[in-house]
Amino acid sequence: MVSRHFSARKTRSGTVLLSLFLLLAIVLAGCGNGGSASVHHKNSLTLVANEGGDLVRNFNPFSGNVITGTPGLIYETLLFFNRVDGSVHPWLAQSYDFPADARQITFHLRQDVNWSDGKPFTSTDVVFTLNLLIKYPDLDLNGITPFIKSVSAPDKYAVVVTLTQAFSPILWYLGGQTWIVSQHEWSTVQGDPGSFADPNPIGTGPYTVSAFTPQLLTLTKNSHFWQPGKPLVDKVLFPAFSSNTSSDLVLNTNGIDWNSQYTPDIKKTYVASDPQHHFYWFPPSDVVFLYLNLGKYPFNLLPVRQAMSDAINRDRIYKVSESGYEPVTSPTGLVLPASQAYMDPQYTNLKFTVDTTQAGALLQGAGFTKGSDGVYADQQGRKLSFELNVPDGYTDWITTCQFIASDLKAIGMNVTVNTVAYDTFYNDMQVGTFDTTLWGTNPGPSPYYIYDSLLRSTDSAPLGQQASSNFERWNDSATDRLLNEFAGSNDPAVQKQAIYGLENIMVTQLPSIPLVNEPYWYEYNTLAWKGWPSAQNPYAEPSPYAYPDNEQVILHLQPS
Amino acid sequence: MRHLTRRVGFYLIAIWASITLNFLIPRLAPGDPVQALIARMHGRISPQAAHALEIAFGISHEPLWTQYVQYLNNLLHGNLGISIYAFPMPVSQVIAQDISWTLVLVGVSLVLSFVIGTFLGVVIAWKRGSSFDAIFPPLFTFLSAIPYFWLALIMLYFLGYQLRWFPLNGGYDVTSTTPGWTPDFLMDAIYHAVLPALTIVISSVAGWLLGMRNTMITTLSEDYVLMAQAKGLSERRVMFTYAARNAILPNITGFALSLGFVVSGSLLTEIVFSYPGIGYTLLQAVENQDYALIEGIFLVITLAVLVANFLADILYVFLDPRVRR
Repeated sequence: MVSRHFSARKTRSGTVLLSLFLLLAIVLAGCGNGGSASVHHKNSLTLVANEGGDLVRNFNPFSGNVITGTPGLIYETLLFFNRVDGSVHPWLAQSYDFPADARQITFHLRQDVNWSDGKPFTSTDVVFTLNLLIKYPDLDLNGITPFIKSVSAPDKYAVVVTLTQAFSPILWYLGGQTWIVSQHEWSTVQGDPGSFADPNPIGTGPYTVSAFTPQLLTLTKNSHFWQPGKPLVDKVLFPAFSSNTSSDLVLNTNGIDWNSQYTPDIKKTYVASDPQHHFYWFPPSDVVFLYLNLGKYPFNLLPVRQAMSDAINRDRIYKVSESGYEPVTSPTGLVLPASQAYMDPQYTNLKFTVDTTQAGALLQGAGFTKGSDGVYADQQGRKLSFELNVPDGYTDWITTCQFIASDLKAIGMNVTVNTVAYDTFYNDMQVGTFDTTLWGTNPGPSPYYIYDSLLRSTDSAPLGQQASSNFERWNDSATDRLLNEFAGSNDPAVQKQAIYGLENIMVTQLPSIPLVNEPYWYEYNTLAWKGWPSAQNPYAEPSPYAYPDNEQVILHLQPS
Repeated sequence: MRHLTRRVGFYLIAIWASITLNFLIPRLAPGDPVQALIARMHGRISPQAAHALEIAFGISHEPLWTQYVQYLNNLLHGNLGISIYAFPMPVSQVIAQDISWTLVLVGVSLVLSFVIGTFLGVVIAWKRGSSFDAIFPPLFTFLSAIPYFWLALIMLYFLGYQLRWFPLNGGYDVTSTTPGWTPDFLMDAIYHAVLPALTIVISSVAGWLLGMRNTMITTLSEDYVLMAQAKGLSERRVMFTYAARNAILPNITGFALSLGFVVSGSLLTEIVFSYPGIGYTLLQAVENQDYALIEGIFLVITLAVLVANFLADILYVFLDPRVRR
């Protein structure tokens, strides 16, 4: 994987000192590896889906510790949702019925699918998998089983899922995010399958595990894969990296075909080193918000939130702290262009603008007066002085926070940026012991998922108790009603109206302050393989850690 | 003998204290492993699922005291528990997987750095005042004053990326060799270890060099050194057998202490070079609130430091007659 060229420039050593050590080093090194200089193994593809050090042999797709990048390549889902354009495609299920009342789904399975050990894939496997999630809640990481009343298989290739209530968003979790496992492998698991490492997985996907060391996972083509002739990539290699300091350099020397990391100034560092073969595409995945703790004064006051939003120069965040990778989001909180179809026409041209005069007017209108220190205070003398939390080590976000603090200072708010260890940061957010904080959202194939996780009152909790995702603690019955309207129907017209209503709440009530888009990180090399997703051909989310999109990408690849 | 028994008693108390601290400290930190895992997955998870995960991970909400007794009991049975970060691997296996990389890389670098530094220290002190003495100590001090992270990055960039003399990452070439006792693998592993080891040696050699040089200069003014020279012994004999042998004691102590810390790995080296090892695993364990793994690694470090100290104590009894009394 790593290219090695022993150059003839050994003698052009720098200082006397270095040469002393280097001589020893090079003599040692030279002994073993004089000849080999292969960059690519034939028909293989090297990807880096995350940099977490040693690999752990865990292919259990329901485990939080599954090797990043393997679900999708080994286990598959019933449907494929392309989150870039919101379209739904058949996969293990060749079709599905989900009537407008959104109470029952019928999946019609493909009849030509086999497990990687040659046994046929049938509806009993799907029923078994869903019952496994119902029986063991720790496998149900999307929290869907409370919505499932019963699962049945009327015949060998049909599965009927009856819901406890009308709930259309379940199609994404059930069809797009639930990995189907085989009854004959998983029924033999002892105890809780959540603790099962699944070291030798039997899946329906295009690859099987062929070799494993903590430093390298090798997947090879599954000869029983149901798409004849595919995949064209024989081997997929997952080397272990601990950080991007070395993977950046390996990427530049063509040692990695498919990568997913933040690289500063990518046009100069990566693209320029080989513009013919080095490419990147950072499509937006979700939105970064400035979460304000609405359970605390003064963030419960709308004028204060509006003044803050008016003061923040998002363009500077986009261009400077986010290296121009993360465009300013729409005030509606929609991820564009993916959710363009849901955009309320009245907001199509709405954009954030910096307006410090209006910010000042809003604060004065709410009864705040500026003190001699330049900081606004209310009638009781309580100052607009608060903390802004950001996870330690998130360097771009830290810069963003410093920009926000200086923008808010300019309108008379005193903001202290607090860098906090990740765990503490997340815990503060959950239990509500923060003033303001920077965080993303949980995206899905439609805008519903972001709004639902951000705004639903049942995802919130009183201060001091753990909220699951509504960290700002927005409790509003009108919002819940709109979310339920969307979820309770499968009718696109009804759903669109509900989203329009939610956009209106975002724009007029500012439950959280949208800042910039959060991208999928994705760099690719066309030296060996072509057919990668791109802005011109956005057939899937392109990161190797986006499941099951990773499978779509690999199946599209052809030798260059 | 009385000296040694007293030391053994001291070590037993030290082990108990460190095991107890080892148990307490991670539990006093805020957050808990399940929430850390959920945060890592950005998942939305129901309370039932979170509870089921806690049970699967073996996280108990029993009083600390009960947990402490269970912990001691498990330790006595050699059971370090299950790692959460590397779930469901046992902690002992996670440590075993990384420790050999660390022992070899950091151990060999330490020995090299100690030998080179001490040797240069002896020679420089002998030729004190020469141009040799004027150049080397400041140069090495300068090199060790460069932040290690930066030094490693620069060396990786120039020697690995620009000149391509060295590989850019990893402990061995994962695509062409597999771990085992084959000449191919060993040569490849050595080749991959050279650059990381070089950075460690360069950044740490100054400490040994200066320590040795300074004690050596003090020793050189002793009467027995003058006496040896007056007897007309060869320069080399006086330098090594008379001066260096006496001057090396503090460096030996330092070496024994460092030897104990070898097992804690070299975090920055592992990060810059994506080199396998225990330091990065410990960082991951801390970030993921993986109590069992943190405790396991600290236990290994503690034991190694105590054992190394104990060995140094014994060695001193032999080396230095004054201790025996």
